[in-house]
Parts: sequence; structure tokens; C-alpha cells
Amino acid sequence: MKRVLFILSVLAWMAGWNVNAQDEVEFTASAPDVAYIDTPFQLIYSVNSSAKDLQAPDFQFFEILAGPFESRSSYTQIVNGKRSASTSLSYTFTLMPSKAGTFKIPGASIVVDGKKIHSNDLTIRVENAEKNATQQTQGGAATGGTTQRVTGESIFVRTIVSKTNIYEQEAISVTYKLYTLLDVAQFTGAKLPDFNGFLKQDIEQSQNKQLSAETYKGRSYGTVVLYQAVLFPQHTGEIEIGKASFTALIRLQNKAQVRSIFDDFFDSYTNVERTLTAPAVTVRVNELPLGGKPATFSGAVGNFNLTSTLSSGNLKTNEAATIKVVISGNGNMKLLKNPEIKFPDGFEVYDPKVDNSFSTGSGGVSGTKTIEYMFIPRRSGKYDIPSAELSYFDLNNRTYRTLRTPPYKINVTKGEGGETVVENFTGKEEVTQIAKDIRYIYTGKIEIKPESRPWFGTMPFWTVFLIPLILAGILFVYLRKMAKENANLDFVKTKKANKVAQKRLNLAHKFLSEGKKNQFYDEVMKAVWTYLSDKLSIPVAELNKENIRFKMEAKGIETDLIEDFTNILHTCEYASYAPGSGQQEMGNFYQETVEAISKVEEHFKKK
Amino acid sequence: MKRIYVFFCFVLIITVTLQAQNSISSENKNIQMANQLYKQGQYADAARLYENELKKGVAAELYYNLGNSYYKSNEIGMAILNYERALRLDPDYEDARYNLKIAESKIVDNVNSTPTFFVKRLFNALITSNTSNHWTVISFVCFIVALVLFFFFVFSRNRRNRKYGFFGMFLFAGLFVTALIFSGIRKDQFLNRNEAIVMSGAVTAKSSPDKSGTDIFQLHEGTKVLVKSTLSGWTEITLENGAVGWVEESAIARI
Repeated sequence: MKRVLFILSVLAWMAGWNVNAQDEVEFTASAPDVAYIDTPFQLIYSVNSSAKDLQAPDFQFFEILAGPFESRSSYTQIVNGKRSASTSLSYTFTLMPSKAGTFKIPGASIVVDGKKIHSNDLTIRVENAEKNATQQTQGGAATGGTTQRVTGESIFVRTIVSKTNIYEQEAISVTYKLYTLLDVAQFTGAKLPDFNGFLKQDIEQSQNKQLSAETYKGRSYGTVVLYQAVLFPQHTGEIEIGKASFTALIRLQNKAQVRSIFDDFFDSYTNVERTLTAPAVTVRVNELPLGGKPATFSGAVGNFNLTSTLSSGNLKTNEAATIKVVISGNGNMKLLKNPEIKFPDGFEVYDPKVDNSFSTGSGGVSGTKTIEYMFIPRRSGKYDIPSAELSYFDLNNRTYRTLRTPPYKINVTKGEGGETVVENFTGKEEVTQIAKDIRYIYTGKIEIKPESRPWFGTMPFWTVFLIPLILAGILFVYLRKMAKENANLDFVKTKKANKVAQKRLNLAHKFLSEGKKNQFYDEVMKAVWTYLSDKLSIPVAELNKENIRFKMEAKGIETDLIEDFTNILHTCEYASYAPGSGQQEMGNFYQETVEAISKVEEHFKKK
Repeated sequence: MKRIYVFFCFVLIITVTLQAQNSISSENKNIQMANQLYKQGQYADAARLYENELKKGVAAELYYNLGNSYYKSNEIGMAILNYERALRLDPDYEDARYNLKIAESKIVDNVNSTPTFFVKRLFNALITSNTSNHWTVISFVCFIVALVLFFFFVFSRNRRNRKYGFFGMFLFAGLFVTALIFSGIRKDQFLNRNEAIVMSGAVTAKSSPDKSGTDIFQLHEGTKVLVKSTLSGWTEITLENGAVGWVEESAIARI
């Protein structure tokens, strides 16, 4: 019972001590202020309490040559029965600077009684090594165990590019592979370059990463692929794949000064963060040869095969059919353009259905691309579908190759419902111009003759104009003369009419004085007739009373006068048969006739 | 009488036309061979054969075919030159005009012609729509019609005929004179050949007829320019927009 009490009291003391200790827990980092390149120095993290789970920071430009070594010391003092005890724990890293400058090492963290505490930051100035510089060594309690060195040789990432001298669009694979001699707990981050100038296609990595052994530069490393992608260069020239950086948490085993049996069971580890940089790689991208580049080439590079099938060569109108084109192979499949099939007019063509099944491997993208062209012939007839072409650059032979689908012949017969079903609502179509080109050469007979001067101003030119002019002149003169002559004849007659009448009347006057009645009337009548005939330009054949009256009216002679003339003519005609008219009467009649004629004369003169 | 006259006119016209067609016409094997080469796509060879034929004489169709050959061998300047030459002989050559337009769409320079008064443009288009000889024939026909109408006016007894004859006579006399003037203008244009096409890929027009002159503007192949004068291997040219400069004679070719 006493014994039990003793144990309890010891425990209680322990607890008390613990509480005491906790009040003054200190976690400090110490290192020299100045270090020299390629000269190791020690960095010590010490805590005046028992602690666990040291999280060391990333030492960046310092290589960890050794460590961390853990050393523990307890100290118990009994003075005058008063007991005082202290425990201290320290972790020692041996670091070696690789670069001159002033660097800041951030504080490490440690867990004391379930509580995380941080140490102070350190600032170390690194100077170039002097030959006679006194090596700074700090005596420490840390020794023992095999050294685990975190150097560029023990852990690194390689950039592996399958080919560095390639053609445009030729697939290459880029692999970031980790080589390590150490135990890597996990990767906390990867910063990949942006692969400018490439089309990138990631290759899926299995989630469960297993280290595999590989011998590199005479040492056997554990390797694992961190990242892998297929790249298709998009332009020619030297393209740089930039640096990639990966952050790894490296688990380092703490080396205790005194190895107890428990250490084997409860190995204590320290996680060290380290940034691993994979070097940049430059790839030389060559231009595809210009010679022999087919017109249909659109950038496909690799090795391809092409097969095509037509669903049926005998169709009915308005019946759908398909041409299936399968492109299989390996290369930049994603950039493959659908080969263009030129369907004849009168076919309704739908957008091709494209089915891609690609898989990305380190050799590039391979798989098949299935293109289904659906079309519906709307008109009957025999049609030719010309072959469609797919050109690519063959990397094996370094030449261009063109794959062709076979040309198909399609026989379309009239289906049920005829051909007009579709036309009903479309109506007439405008003829659309597809492209512009010059018209074809003239193939008919061409007459080559020496260049002739224009006729203008030449002798024949003037002659041609002059001849009609002369002829017209002659004709004009002739016609003018004719017209003049005709006009004169009438004019003279009219002019002479009065004189002729006068002569006859004089004769009549003579008969009147002689008393020859019949001759008198006869003469007067003749005088009047000839006068009117001449005056009115009436031919003798057409001379009658009606014509005279008509003509006189046309000339605008008063009706009274016309009446007078009619009476005169009447009297003359009947006088021969009328019984004896006296001298007096005949004299009056003569006077009347002379007056009538003179009146007509006056009328014409007035005019 | 009139009938005889009309008949006479026709006889004259026919004689004139026959005279025009009085030319060497033979089955030309060289041209057929050139056509064949053109068909096979050997445009440069076809062009060479056509050029050979042009040493013997000219024909609008021959210039047209030559222009096509040059167009297809991508010599736009030469193509335009030959289309223009074809149109110089035959302004009604529709195919040549069409191809010229297409060829002109491929040249670099876009010389914006200052929009001349549209009546003037219409006038120019009217004048250039026919050759000098066409205008001569037109003026001759108008002349004859005017004469006939003159006779109508003078000798017809019918008043209405005389009236129509009078006005018609003046109308056709006016047309006759206009056509005659046009014919003269066209003859002048035809013989002066003051239009030219730029032949070299690019040529810089200078302010004076020597190499040290200030650069004024740059022209490219296929552009049409007007020739104003020449001086010891240099040509003074005017553009449609009014710019004037000197270029070396070898850089341009007259249509």
C-alpha cells in the first residue's frame, strides 16, 4: 500500500513538473550569422521540453547534408532537498549553402503537448568561400547513424522529351520523372510550364504511384512519372519547354543519439519540404517540306488509313443514304479535317456526323475517326460522287501522301411520291455564283489582219460622204426645175385667161353689132368656158358646171358671182333655141358677162 | 426615184463593210495549238504561241486569249494589258471586259478616280462604246437620212410631210455631225495610244525625269495610267485621281 502511495506521489510530482515546464517552453533555432559556400554548418532547433513532429521549413538554397539528428538531455538537480529538473531536446541539421547572398530561413514548427509552437526565423548571410576561412563548427551532441543527405543527387526531376528534332505537328511526349534515393511522403504542388507553341494532350497517370527501380548514372534510383503529356508543335523554329517545379515533402528519419529498442518501433520522422526543378528543354521544330505539298493538305501529320463505304448505290428519290469514312491511324488526329465530299446538286446533304475514339499514349494520339455523311437525293438520275481526299505528311517516309475515297456512282430512280414533294414550298431558286473566274478563251476562227487605221479623214471616207451629197445636189436641181416648169405653165395660163377671153368677147361684140345672134352666143360661151378653164386650171376634159362651181367655191369666190356665171352659161346654151331676142338684150348680156369676168379678175388680184 | 436612192445608200454601206472585212483569213494551226496548250494548263507556252501570232497582225480575240493565258500564269499586268488591247480593237467585246474586271480586282492599287461630272462620264462612255469606224458608219446613215428628209421637206406637197421633214432633217443632221466628231475623237484615241499599264511589280513615280527626283507615289503592277509626254527614256504619267509623275518608260506598256 505504501508502495502504491509512493508511485502516486511520484506521478503527482511528475505532473507538477510538467506543468512547471510548460510555462516556460521555448523553441529556438540557432545558426551562425555568416556561412560560406560549400562549407557545411549546423542549424539547431532546440526546445526545453519533450516534443514531437518537427516540421522543418524548406531550406531552399541550402542542401541538407545530414540530419536531423535528435538529441535529448535531461537534467535533475537536488539542492537542499529541493528538486529541480530540466529536459531539453535538439534537432541538428547540417546544411551547406550553394549560393551567396542573404537568406531567410523561416521558422520550424513542433508540437509540444498537443500544441503547435513555432521557432524564430533565421537570417544567414552566405559569403563566397575563402580558402583560409576558419571553418565554423559548432560542437553538438549530435552524431551517429548513417547520413541522409538531401542533395541534388539524391532527389531530382528529369524532363524527358521523346524527340528534340521534329517536324511541325509531329507528336512528341514530354515526361517529368522523379528520381529519388529518399523517401518522398507526398507532392504538395506542381507548377508546369505553359507549353507555349504546343498543342498539349495529357496522358492519364494511374493514381496509385509505385516506385520503380531505374539505374541512372550508375546509381539505382526509385523513379516515378510525375506528369506526362503528348505535345504537337504548332509553329516552326526553336520552341522552349519551360522549367517545371514540383514541391515534394521528403520524410527524413530522425537519428537519435541513443538508439533504444523503442526507436525501432516508434521511428520519428521529420518532413522537409523541398522544391524540385525540372530543367527546361528546347525542341527544334522543322518546317514541313514545301515541295509536293498537296492542295488538300491541311496539317495532318502522322500515319493514317482511310476506308469508306457507301450504304447503297441504287437509291430512290427522297431516300436517305450514307457514306461512311473511317480514318484510323496515329498522329494529330484531333486536327484532322473531314475530307470534303462534293455531292452533286439536287442532293440534300446534312452535316456529317463525326465519331472520335482517340487514345493518348506517349507515341501520340491514335484511334479512329468515323465520319458519316448523310444525304438524300431529291432528283432522279445518274450521279457521280467524286473521290474525297485526305492528305497528310507521312513521318516514316518524310513525304506527303494523299488518301482517296473511291468515286461512287449512284443511280437514283423515281421513288413514290415523285420528285416534286420538296419543291412545292421552295419555289424557284436564284442561280448563285459559287466563285469568280475569268471566262474561257475564244476558240473560234480568229482573223489576223494588220492593224488598220480608222477610215476617218481618209480619201474613201470623204468620197463616201461626197457622192450622196453630189447626187442629192443633182437631184435637187432637177426636181426644182421640174417643179418650176409645172408651176409656170399654170401661171401663164391664168395670166393669159383674161386676154383670151377679151379676144373672144371682142369677136362676140363684132357679131353683136352685125346682129349675128347665134354666133354671138356661141362666142360668149366659148369665151367663158376657156376663161374659167384657164383661170381655175381645170383641164378641158373635166370642164363642166359642177366642177366649175366646186373650184370657184374652193377659191373663195362669192356665191352671187358663181350664180352669175351659171346663169351666163345657161343663157348661152338656151339662146340658140330661144326665139328672137333683141339687140338690146344681147347688149345687156354682153355687158353682164364682161362684168362677171372682170369681177373674177378683181378677186384674183385681191388675193 | 426615192427607192433608187435608198438602194444606192445600201450599196455604199455594203461596199464600205466589205472593204473592212477584206482581210487575210486562214485556218491557223498555231492558234489551235495554243488553244490546246491552254486547255492542258500550259499557260506560259500558250502565251508564247499567241505572242508569236501577234507578230503577223492583230485580232481582238487573239489579245483576249493571250490575256487569259497571262492571267492563268499569274501575270496580272500582262493580262490587263492584253485585255485592254482587245478592247481597243473591239470595245463591244463583252468577254474581254468581264475578264478585265476580274483581273483588275487582283491588282494592288486602288486609284480612286475623282468622280468626274456624271454627264462627262456618260459622254466618255458613249464615245468609247464604239470604234471610230462604227461612228463613221453611224454618221453616214444619219447623213443619208437627213438628206432624204431634206427632200421631203422641200418637195412634198403635203404640209405634214414637210413639217416632219423639216424637223427630222435637223435632228439627223445634228446626229450626223455628232457621230462624225465622235469618230474623229476615237481615231485620235486609237492612234495616240496614250493609255498605259504598269508592268513592273512596283514602280516609284518621280517628280522629274531622272533617278534623283523626289519620290511622289508608288504604283503596282496592272494599274492604268495616262501618258502625257515622254522625255529621254522617261514618261510623264497622270493617274485617274490627277496625280502626275515621271516613271521610266520600261516600267509601263502602252495599250
